[in-house]
Amino acid sequence: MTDTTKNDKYNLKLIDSMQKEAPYDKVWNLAWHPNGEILATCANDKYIQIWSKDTNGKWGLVQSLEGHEKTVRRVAWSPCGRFLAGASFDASTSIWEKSKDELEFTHVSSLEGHTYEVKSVAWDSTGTLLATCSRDKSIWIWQMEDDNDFECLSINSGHGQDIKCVLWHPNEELLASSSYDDTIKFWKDIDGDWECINTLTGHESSIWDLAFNKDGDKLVSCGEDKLVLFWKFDKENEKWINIFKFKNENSRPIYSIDWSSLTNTIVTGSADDSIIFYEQESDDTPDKYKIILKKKNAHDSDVNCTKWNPKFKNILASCGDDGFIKIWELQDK
Amino acid sequence: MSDNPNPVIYVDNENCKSFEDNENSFNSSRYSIEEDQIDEFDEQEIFDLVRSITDPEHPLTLEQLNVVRIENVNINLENSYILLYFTPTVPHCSMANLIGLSIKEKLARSLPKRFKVDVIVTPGSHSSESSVNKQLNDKERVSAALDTSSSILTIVNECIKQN
Repeated sequence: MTDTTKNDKYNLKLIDSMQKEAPYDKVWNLAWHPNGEILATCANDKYIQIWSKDTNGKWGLVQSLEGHEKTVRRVAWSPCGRFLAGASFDASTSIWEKSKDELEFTHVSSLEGHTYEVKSVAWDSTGTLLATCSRDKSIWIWQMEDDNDFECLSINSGHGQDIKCVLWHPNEELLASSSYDDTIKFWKDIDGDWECINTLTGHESSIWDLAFNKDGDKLVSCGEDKLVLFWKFDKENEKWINIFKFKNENSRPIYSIDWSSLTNTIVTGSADDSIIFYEQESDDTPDKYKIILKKKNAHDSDVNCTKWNPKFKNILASCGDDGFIKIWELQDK
Repeated sequence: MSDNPNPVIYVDNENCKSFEDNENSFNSSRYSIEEDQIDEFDEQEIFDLVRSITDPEHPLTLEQLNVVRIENVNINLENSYILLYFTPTVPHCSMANLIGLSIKEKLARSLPKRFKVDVIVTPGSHSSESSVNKQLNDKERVSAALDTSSSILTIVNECIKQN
């Protein structure tokens, strides 16, 4: 499989480009609101930025949420879109409540307990469970109570190093985590105790990001080793197996991966400043994938995050070390 | 207690330049007066950026301690890629991460954003080589280590300031 895919079928169109006022900072992560009309981003400047379109359709900054003392590393919306969580290097996770009709946010909770930087935060599909992970090698699972309080249900260890990402299964109460220890682990509540039920090996270095497909029977991972690995759940043996892999030796670490639930297209962002799109090779080969487009120089520096719009097909956002947030459309020629 | 109380001091006369010379060359335009064309980065220029970084434990520069050498600087202009090997003063040096961080931060502040920089331990020169390399090239951990108000940033700033 060669990376020099001819883009004779697809084109990536830049729709908008945003940068907050100086000082410009690396933008680490972004998250689409479930309605597909609002973006949250986070950066080295310790703020969470909220963006939306004005009446002319131009994206602009509408709010900056102050609540952290250090870099905010990841943001995540609850499935109902009412809450926003921010994971920070100050070892805490902030929870914000969005007012019903306006773009106004109230800080409702601060989840403390991790010893070091919190790297990732994720809501489960019901919006009642929240998972966080940290450089302290632990995963905390929280349950949201009625009065916006959070109870810590479990503190899980098992990874040998820094945990980079936590991600809930799209429809089951199952948590995936990826780590600096080069493994992916699956966690499940067994008789009231959260336990590691699977450990996936195959990566050669830190694993930066994970994404499930819509049905949750496939997973993709990307890492410092420049690998994109495809995993499939083997129902008979109840374990995940690696079914496909991409590696480009001339590339750089891959920081972000996302699997569109609308189109099944997969997108990555990497340290070679490019955004790459992948699709199943054909309808007859469910376990084989191909690159359909590589957009070089999508940003002027590392691409840190790429995310599909959850509502509008083929629309995605990216952010990078150049301080820009970009909105794109993947077009069929 | 110092890992290396009696470091060997190297002097490379041919490459030594006074601070004034370095400052002049850093400040001068990238356009040569006579040729009116862009003067591309080269290994010497990268080396000049890092040679005067001081060791965290001794009042000596990385060049004087032979931690950085010009022959261990590799630049690929076509890909805007720099690979720099550094040699810690002793194989078990606990300052290896800190030295690597100082080099990385100095280059990050001095070079255009398009440059990709890998700073790694000279193969065979350190007992925790792979662990040091993995940490140095994990940009998230580097960013967290150098977050404003961190004590590591204070030390790094001290090492890279011009004397």
